[in-house]
Amino acid sequence: MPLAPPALAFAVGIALAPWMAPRAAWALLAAALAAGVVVLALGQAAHALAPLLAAVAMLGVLRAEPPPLPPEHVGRLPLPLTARLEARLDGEPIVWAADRARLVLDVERVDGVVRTGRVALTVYGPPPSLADGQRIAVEARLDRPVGFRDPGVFDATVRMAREGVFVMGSAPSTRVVPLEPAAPSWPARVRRFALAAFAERLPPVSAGLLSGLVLGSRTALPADVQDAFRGAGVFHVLAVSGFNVALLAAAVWTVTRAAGGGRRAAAAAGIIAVLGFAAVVGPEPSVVRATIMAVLVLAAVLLDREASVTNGLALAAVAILAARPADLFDPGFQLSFAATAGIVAAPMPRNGLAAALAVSLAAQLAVLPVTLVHFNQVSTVGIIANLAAVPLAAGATVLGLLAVVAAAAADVAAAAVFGAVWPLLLLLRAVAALAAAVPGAVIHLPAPGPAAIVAYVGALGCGLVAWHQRARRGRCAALGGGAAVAMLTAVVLAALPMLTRGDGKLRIAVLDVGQGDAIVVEAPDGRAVVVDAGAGGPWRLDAGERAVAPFLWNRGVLRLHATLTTHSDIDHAGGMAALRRLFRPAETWDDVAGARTLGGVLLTSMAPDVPGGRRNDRATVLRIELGLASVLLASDVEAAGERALLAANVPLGATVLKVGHHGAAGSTTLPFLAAVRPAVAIVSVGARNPYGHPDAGTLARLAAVGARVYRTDRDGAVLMETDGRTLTVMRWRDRSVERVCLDPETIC
Amino acid sequence: MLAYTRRQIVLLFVVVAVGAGGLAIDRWRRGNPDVVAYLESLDRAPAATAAAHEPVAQQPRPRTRAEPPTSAPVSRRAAARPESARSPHARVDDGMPLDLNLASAADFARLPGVGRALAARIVDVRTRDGPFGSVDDLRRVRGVGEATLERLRPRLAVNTP
Repeated sequence: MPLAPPALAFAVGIALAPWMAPRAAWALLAAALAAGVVVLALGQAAHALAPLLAAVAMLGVLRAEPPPLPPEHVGRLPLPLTARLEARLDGEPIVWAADRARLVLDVERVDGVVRTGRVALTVYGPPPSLADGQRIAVEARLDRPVGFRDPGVFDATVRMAREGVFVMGSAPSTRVVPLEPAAPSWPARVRRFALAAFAERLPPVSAGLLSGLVLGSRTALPADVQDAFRGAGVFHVLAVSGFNVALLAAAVWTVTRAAGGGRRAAAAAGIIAVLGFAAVVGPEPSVVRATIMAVLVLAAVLLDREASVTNGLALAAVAILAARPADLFDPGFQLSFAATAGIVAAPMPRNGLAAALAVSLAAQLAVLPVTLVHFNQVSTVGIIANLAAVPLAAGATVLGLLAVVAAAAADVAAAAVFGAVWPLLLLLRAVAALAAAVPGAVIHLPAPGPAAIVAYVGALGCGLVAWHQRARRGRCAALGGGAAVAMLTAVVLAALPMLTRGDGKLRIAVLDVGQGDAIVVEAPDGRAVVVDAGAGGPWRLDAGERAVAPFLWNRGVLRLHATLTTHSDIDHAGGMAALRRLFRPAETWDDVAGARTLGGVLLTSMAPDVPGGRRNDRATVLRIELGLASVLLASDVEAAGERALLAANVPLGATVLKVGHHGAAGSTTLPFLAAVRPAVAIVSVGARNPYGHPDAGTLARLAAVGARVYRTDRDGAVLMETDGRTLTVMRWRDRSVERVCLDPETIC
Repeated sequence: MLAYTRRQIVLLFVVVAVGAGGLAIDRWRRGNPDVVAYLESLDRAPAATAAAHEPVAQQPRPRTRAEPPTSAPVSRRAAARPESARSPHARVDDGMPLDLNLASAADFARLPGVGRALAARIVDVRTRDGPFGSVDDLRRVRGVGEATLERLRPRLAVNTP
C-alpha cells in the first residue's frame, strides 16, 4: 500500500496547524469522513481517496495543536523563582565546557509540592557525576528561556518549546545532591564505555572525531574541526544518521553470513543490532527514521517479502510525526527525510563512481532548501568532498564499532583496531580541512521564501517526471521546459532580497543580542556597516555568528562595507571576529574618528577625549544623518565621556538616541539629554541582566525629555527606516510600527 | 500513481477514523476530569467485597519494593509510586474511616467512587494548601461535589486538630 500520500497529507496538516482553528479542523475532519463513507457506500472506492487524505491532513492539524499545560506543570509557576527541585535526569548530562554542564530534568517536586514538566538546568562549576534516570535534588534559580528576537534569526526558545522545555534553571554544581546512587541504564553504560575507550586509546582530537562518527557525540571535538567539516559540506558524517544504521546493519549482515548463518539469521541479527544501536545513541529523528527503515527492510527478508523503501520512509515519517509533531520543523528531521527522499527518487546510474556521484548530488539537491532556510548556506565542494569523505567515514565508523567490541573483549585486539582506525581519522580530517580551504567552499545566501521553495521542489519534480517519460519525446520536452521555468522562478524569487537592495532608504537595526550592542546600518545605496556585534568568543553563544550574520544574510547582505567596534568590551566586540571572517568588510572604522559619507548618509564618529578615563568613556560615538533624520549611537559612554563630548562642541542633536551603556544609571545625564533632545530612545539591553540595566532613573530622565523608549529586552529588535523626511520604528516582537514625522511643514 | 485497492481504502478509512476518535476522546478527557474520574470508578466493587480481593491484589507490591534497586528500570518503577504501601491502611481495607490528613493516595483510591486521579488530587491539595479542617473541607478539591462528599462521608474522618 503506497503510504507516501497519507504521510505527506499528515505533514501538510501539521504545517497548516498554526493557521487553523481546532473547531474548523474538527468540522472538516467530520465532513471528510462522512464524504468518504458516502463515496465508499456508493462503491466508488477510487474517489474516496481525496476526502480520506483531507481527513488525514486534519488529523495532522489536530495532533499538532499543543495541549494546554496541566495545572501542576512547572511552566505554571510564577517565574522567576528560586526553589528546591526534586527531579529525575532525562538523558546523560551534557558537559559542553570545562565548568558548564546541562541537565534535562523531569520534575517530580518543587519545594515539596508535586509538579510535572521539564526543566533545562545549567550547572556551573566542576561537572557533577550523574547518570541518565538518576533522581537528584537541587536548589536552582528558575526562569523562562530567552532567545534572540530578530528578523531572520533563529529563536532558541522555539526549539526548547519543541522539546517540551518551558522553564530554564541554573545552579552551581555544589547545590546538586543525588538522591539515589547513579544506576546508568545499559545503553548509557555502553555509550560511556565506548567514549572512555576512544578517549583512552586515541589522541584527543581523533577520539572526539570517532565519538562523533560512531555515536554522534561532538562535545569533545574542537570547534575549528567542526567548522572545517561544515565548510567542506561533510558535517553529516559527524551526526548519527541513517548512514551509521545502514553501515551497522550491513556489517552485521556480512559477518553473520560469513560465519555461515542463513539470510534469515543475518536479518534477525541485523534487527537486534540496529535496535540496540538506536537505544545507545538516543531518539534523534534521523536515527528513528533509519532504524524504522532498516528494520522494515530486514523484516522483509525475514518474512520473504519485498520491501518498499518509499513506504518505509513514509511509515517512519508518520511514526515520528505522530509521536512528536513539532519535529516537522526540526532541521535534523528535515535534512534526514529530504536527503533520503532525494536519494530514493533520483535515477541512479549503475556504474560505481557515477552512482556515488549521483547519490551525493541527489542528496545535496534535496537538502538545499533546508540548509538555506536553517543555516543560510550552500556547500559548493560538498558533492566532490563527499566522494572522499563518505568512504573514509564509513571505514572509520565500522572500525570504531568493531573497536568498541574489541575493547570489551581483549586488549590486544583493541590495540590493533584502534591502530587501524587512527590513520583513517587523520585522512578524514585532512580531506575536510582541504575541501574547506577551497575559496568559495561555502556560499551564504538569504533564506528562500515559501514560494521559492515550492517552485524549486516543483522544478525537481518536473525534472524527475521528464526523466521517467524520456521515451515519449514530446511530453518529455514539455515537462523539461516546465522544470526549467520553475527553476528560473525559484532562483529569481530566492535572489529577490539581494536584487532589491539599495532602494534609497536608510535602515538602522538595533538587534536583540541579549546583554550587549549590535547595530546594523544599511545605507540608501545598499552598502551595510555593522557597529558592534554583541557578545561572543570561545565557550559563549556568539551573537555575531548566531544573530548578526543570519540577520545580514536574510537581508541580502553578503559583504559588509565596514565594521566599527566602539570599544573592546566583550558585549560589544565579542561577535566581531566571526562577522569579519564571514563578511570580509572592506574597511575598518575602529580607530579613525571623523566624517564620512555613504550613499548620501553622513556618518560622524567621535571619540570622547577623557584622559585616564574608563574604557567605556573612550568608546567611539557615531552620529548618522540623512536629511532631517539623525541617529546618535552612544555606545557605552558614561558621565565623563558625555561631559567630554559636550565640551568638544560637536553636533549631538538627534531624532533617535541609542542610549549609552544599556541604560545604566551613570550614563545619559541631563545636560547630555538636553543637547541631544531625542524623540526616540532605544535601550539595547539583555533581559534579566545581572547589572540592573536599564536603571529606573535613566528611564525617568528619558521620559522627562519626551522620548519614546524602546527596549530590546522587551521589544526584541528595534528596526528603523527613514527616507530623510519620515521615520518609522518597528518593534520586532509584536511587529508594531510607529511613525515619527520629522518635517513640520508636511503632513505624514 | 495513486492506485489503491478497495481494501486499502477501507483500511486507511478505519485507521483515520480510529485516529480521529482517539484524538477526540483524549481532548474530551482533558476537558472533563471529573466525569473521567467518575467513569473510572464505575466498575469498582463496593467496599465490603473489595476487601476480600485486596490482599491478593496487594501481594506483588511488597515484593517489588523488597528487591534491591540494582537494575534501573525496576527501581525507577518503584520510585514512581511514592505513596504506595507506606501507610498502615495499605495492606487491608478494614472498613475503618480514613483520616483525611493521614491517608495516602493509595488509601483514597480504594474508596468507592474515587479513582487514582482524584486520589492524587486530594493529596496534592493537602500538600499545597495545608491539612483539611473537617470532612466538609474536602469540597475544596476539584472533582468532589455534594454527591461524592455524601457518599464518602461515612468512610472519612478528621481526627487531627
